[in-house]
Amino acid sequence: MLDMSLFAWSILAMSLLTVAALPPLAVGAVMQLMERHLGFTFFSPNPANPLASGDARLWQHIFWFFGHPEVYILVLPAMGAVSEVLQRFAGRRAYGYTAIALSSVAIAAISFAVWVHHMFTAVQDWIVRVAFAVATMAVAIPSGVKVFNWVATLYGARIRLRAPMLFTLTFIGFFIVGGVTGVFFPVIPLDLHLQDTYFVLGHFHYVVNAIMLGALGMLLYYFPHITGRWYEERLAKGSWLLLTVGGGITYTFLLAAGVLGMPRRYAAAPDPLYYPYHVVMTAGTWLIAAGVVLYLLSLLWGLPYGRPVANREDPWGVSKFGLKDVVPPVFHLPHIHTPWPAVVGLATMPLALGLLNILAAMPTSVLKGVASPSPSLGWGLVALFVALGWLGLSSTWWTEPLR
Amino acid sequence: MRVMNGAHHIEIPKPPSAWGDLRVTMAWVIFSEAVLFLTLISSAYYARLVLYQNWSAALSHVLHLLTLLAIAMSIALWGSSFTAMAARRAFLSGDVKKFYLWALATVGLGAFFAASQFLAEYPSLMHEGFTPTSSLVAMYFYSIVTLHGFYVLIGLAFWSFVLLLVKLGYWTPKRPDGVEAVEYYWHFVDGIWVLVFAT
Repeated sequence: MLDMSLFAWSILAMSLLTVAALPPLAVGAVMQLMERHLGFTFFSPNPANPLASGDARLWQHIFWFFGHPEVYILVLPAMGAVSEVLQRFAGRRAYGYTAIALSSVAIAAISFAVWVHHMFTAVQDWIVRVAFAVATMAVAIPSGVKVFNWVATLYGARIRLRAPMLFTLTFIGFFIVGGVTGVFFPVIPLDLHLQDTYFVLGHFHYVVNAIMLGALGMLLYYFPHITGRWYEERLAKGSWLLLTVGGGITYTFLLAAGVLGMPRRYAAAPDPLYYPYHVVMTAGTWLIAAGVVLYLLSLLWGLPYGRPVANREDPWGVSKFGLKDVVPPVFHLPHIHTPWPAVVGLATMPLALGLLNILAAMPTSVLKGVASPSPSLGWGLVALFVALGWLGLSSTWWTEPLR
Repeated sequence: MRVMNGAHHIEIPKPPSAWGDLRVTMAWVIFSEAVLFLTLISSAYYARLVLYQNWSAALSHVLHLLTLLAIAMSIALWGSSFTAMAARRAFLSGDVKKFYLWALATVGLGAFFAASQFLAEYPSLMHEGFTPTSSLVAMYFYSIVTLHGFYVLIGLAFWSFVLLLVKLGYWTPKRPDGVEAVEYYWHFVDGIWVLVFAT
């Protein structure tokens, strides 16, 4: 199982992150609801009762404990996609397969120990700051391992510069810029200056645009597999040019304005010093928009008029170096005819809603005045549950094979 | 790492059987639920560390939480872990009648826990002024303990669902995945109570 494709490795790391990082967000959201509607002051001071005064930074901690792994949830699948497309257009297997695979897992593991770098201005304890700064710098190591292995895969390879490969190469370039600007943040004195400036925007726009380019490249790569026709190559290459140039201009000027102190989340630039930067950024976004239009045109033109694909199993001719695109599944899930998914998934929804209505209508309910529940609607929904459950159990439609 | 050369990912000889296994699914569920509880518990620790003065002042107003009832409830819940284990063992050895007995004992103990928490402990605490929004300690006490109480209720629903499926003949001693899954879930709920009780 360990010798999976690199995309599968990155999806594994992303899935682990998803399962471990989302529950804190759920808890934080429920705590917010309790604070807003039930008077629990987890996150806000309570002047009337100092014994029940919360701390707003707790919300930041909970949010960023989710939020930082979340950015790796975004980038890991794109890294996997890039690893795959890169091998196919370099015409050879990835250099350092093990290193690329394990660096995905390493990024996932380190990502839980870095969240305080989002709140260096809120946390003043130097020991905490330095510990999280060191952990944050450590993320650069597996990310660098990936970049160096991608470059080594390209070194001396017979590269085919088709549109998906161009998108992938720009991913690597943008990811390097986004990654290097990311390493500025664990440098605490610098971070205190850059906090909430356009520099942060520049950093994550570079990374997220790289992710988008990786995804667009993979979509182009699979377009012939999916539709049986080729996309329009020249339009796709034009789109790549506009996205790369427009993105590079926009985000570089975001970084520059940020270093000069342009703050985030402002409706207007606070100083005429920033006006020219904003003009250039706006021009860059128009280039990006034009690139998106060309990309869509390339696909929409290819859908009816594209050149038909000769071999849909392997349109790019990649199986000759052992990287098949279509792999037969090694494991077929058994198909069990059972009513329970339908009963549990569909019929229990009216049950839950009905019970909620009945409970909320009781005289002691905490929802009194918040919602207007109706017990008769509740009993009706419970009856619907009974009817659906009985139907599911007594009928035999689910034993018949699917057609 | 010699196996990880990337050259053989098409010729995997045998799929890992784990992916069709309900127990693995349950392990994932438990993993994510554990993170959920740990977030709340660490939030309480955060409040205790960062808001130390408010917290200790609030703590001095706290009533005696460790009552006889609380101890009895805890013993019932932890004891139900052992009845759940006995139920699983009886089921695997093919003794379905014994399984029903042990499972019903488990459900009874869990129902005692949930009923005393929501119908006896909470009303008496609130009657004496320990209301959820009265202090930081109370806020975290009620959030964590109520969340755990909901998990006990979900566990009870899960047990009745599994009992129904056993009665209908869906899970049999030869196909005991559901029974094993519910047992793991129950151990998890009990284990979390160890953590909650300790704090």
